[in-house]
Amino acid sequence: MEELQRRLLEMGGLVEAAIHGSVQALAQRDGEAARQVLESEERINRMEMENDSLTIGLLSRAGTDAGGLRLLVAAIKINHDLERMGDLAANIARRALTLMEEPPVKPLIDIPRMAQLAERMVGQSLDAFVQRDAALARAVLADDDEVDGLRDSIYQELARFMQEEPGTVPRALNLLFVARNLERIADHATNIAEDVLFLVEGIDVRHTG
Amino acid sequence: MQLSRSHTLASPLFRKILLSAFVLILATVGSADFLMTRYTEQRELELVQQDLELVGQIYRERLSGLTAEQVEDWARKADGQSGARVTIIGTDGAVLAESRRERGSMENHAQRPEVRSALKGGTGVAKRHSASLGVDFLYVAEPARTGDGKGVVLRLAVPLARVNESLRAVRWRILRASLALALLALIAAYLYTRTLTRRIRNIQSYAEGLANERLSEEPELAEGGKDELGALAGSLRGMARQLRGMVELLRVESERREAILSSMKEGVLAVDEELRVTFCNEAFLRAAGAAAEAPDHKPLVQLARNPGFLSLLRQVLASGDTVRGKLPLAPASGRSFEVYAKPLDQGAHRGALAILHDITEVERLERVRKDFVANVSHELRTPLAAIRGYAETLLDGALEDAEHNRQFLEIIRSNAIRLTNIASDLLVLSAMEQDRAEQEPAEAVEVQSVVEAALRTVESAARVRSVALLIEEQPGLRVRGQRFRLEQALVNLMDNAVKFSRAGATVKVESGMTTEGMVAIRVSDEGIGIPSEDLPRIFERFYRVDKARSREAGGTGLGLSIVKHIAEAFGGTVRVESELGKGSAFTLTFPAA
Repeated sequence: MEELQRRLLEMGGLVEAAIHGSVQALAQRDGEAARQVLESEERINRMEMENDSLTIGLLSRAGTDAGGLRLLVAAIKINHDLERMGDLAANIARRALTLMEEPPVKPLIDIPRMAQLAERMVGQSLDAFVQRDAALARAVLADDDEVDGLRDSIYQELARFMQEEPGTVPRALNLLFVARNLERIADHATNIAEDVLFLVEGIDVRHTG
Repeated sequence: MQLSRSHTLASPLFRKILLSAFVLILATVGSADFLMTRYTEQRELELVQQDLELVGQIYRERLSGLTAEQVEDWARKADGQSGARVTIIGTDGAVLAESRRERGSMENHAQRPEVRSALKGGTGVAKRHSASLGVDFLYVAEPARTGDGKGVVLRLAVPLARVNESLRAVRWRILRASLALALLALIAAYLYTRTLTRRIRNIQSYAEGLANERLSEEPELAEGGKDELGALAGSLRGMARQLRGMVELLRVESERREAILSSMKEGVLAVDEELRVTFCNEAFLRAAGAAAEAPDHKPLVQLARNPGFLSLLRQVLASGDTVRGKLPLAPASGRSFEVYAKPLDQGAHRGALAILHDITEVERLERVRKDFVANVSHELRTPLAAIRGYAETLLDGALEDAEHNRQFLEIIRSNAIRLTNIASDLLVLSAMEQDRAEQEPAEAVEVQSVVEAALRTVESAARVRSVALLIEEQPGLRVRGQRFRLEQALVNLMDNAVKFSRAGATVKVESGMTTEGMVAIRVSDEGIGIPSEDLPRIFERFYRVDKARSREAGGTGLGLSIVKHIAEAFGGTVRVESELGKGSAFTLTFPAA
């Protein structure tokens, strides 16, 4: 059980680094960072499979109490969320590699902010998992709205660019995908926070507005 | 320490000592009593026997003067006088006379042991139940002769009941004395044992106190006897003193170490083979962005998840080599660390030690320096290229071109001025650094006069751009420093303010005291403002928010850097607030003189 938790956190660390690297690749046009993210994606995928079989092994063991079962169920979900975040970070890294080949559409302001926020949410959701901290998990849930707001303003801004200057459309579309990926990373962080609440308080906060 | 009685009784040692004393006393007193009683009994019987023998002696004399017929009467009389039963037995065992019974009813006494001894010619003594009278008797029989020369046996007897009676009284007296003696001995044993137990108890609880590390709380051991226990207490006291000294030494040492580790700027982390935290200091917790709590053998991933850091430590554990690396510990914090990790051998426990040095600032400075060198060459090259270009154009024939040659020369001159400005600004900066190194003497500078002097310098430029200059000041403010430096800082700020203001705008210079008792001078404009992402870097050398515009305005990119240096030389600070499109405000704060 402890081993599982340790592995989830280690995987979380990889995912955090991947997200950070992908945004760095994008903002600073750092091809090396992007390639590292793509490499770590494979490791993350491997870890997901290993964690899954570990969890299934633990599940089939008799005599697990209610708290233990909750942890295992949460672990399955967190494992999946982390793996998806790794994929999304890899997507961002790929877009960053494409964008590097062309001059920037505009100075990036909102995307790094959004990335910072998403990164913080991922970190906090994992910290909440470590410390079984319901308050921290709730803070992550609250941040999600801000990410959604940022995504909307990025959409509008990019739409304006595309209308004014059709030459920027392919690049703007790539940025749009990046924003979408970041927003989905934030969603997965929210999922983890919800799992933590389920783990700590045994309540289900999904789909309650 | 005072022990209650029940407490003392509960002590196994006490019980053991007391019990053996009890058994010993009872055995001694009991056997003494027994022997005494036996001895007394023997003595008593011997006395009675001697009496009887004595009486027998007299009776034998008497008997030798009597005939067989007189014997019977005499026996009865003698019994009446002496109180001893008298029996006279013939050599054939037939009873010739008996003082307490009829002769005819007596059986033959030849087989009685005392009679048999007497018949053989000695004195026979026996203690026996009398078949004739049904009472216990002590018999003494001796050979004798009657007056008619006939050999008989004279037997005297006293009932043992009489002897026993006097014996009982003696026995009882002895018993009472024994009991009293035993009781006294027991009380003495009890008291002694109690004292002994208490002393041992005291020493024991003192030693327990030592073992439980309650060294400072434990009162001094009061035991001071001159025997072995006293000596034991003495050595215990000595040991306690030494222990106390050693514990104190260790405590001070560990506190010092703790203080050193926690006051270190560098993060320190120790992990075991399974990457569990065995020690970390506050700096490490800060670096990891973890909540400050005792790590207590938690897995490291709960504190720091950075994959680079984890794999670096694993590498150290696997290879046993020292590893260095640069990495961000918590990517979100934006800080980077140089990590120095080496294996840690603590006997059977292998692990790794990591020291983290925050190099965020170092890296930033490095970047600033690189930027500076690049900028200096760039800043110098641009005007030089212009000068060279226009000079070559002139040489190539434009010198004759009356229409343009003057314009080209103007351009050459303005670029030369820029180079001069850059050179002098760089000189100012390096002089400032020199000043700081050499501690130029400081004087009390009156702020009002400096502001006015600075105002005169920028007045003409303000007039040209039709920018109004407004001074609001509190008279009498003084700061410590060098007058011409303060003037330079104000000129730079006011010049910037004028340059980035639109026509008709106002530049305001305010001075006053802050609530903290500092002198503040604030230069604000209604100009274009500074984008927030540039704010942290505007005091860096050659940093320009809008490069083209700044150069066009004649700036060297060094002005604010000089302002910052001056503020620091005065022991003060410079702060900027700005809103894009609304204007900027720079505030200098100095300690008052």
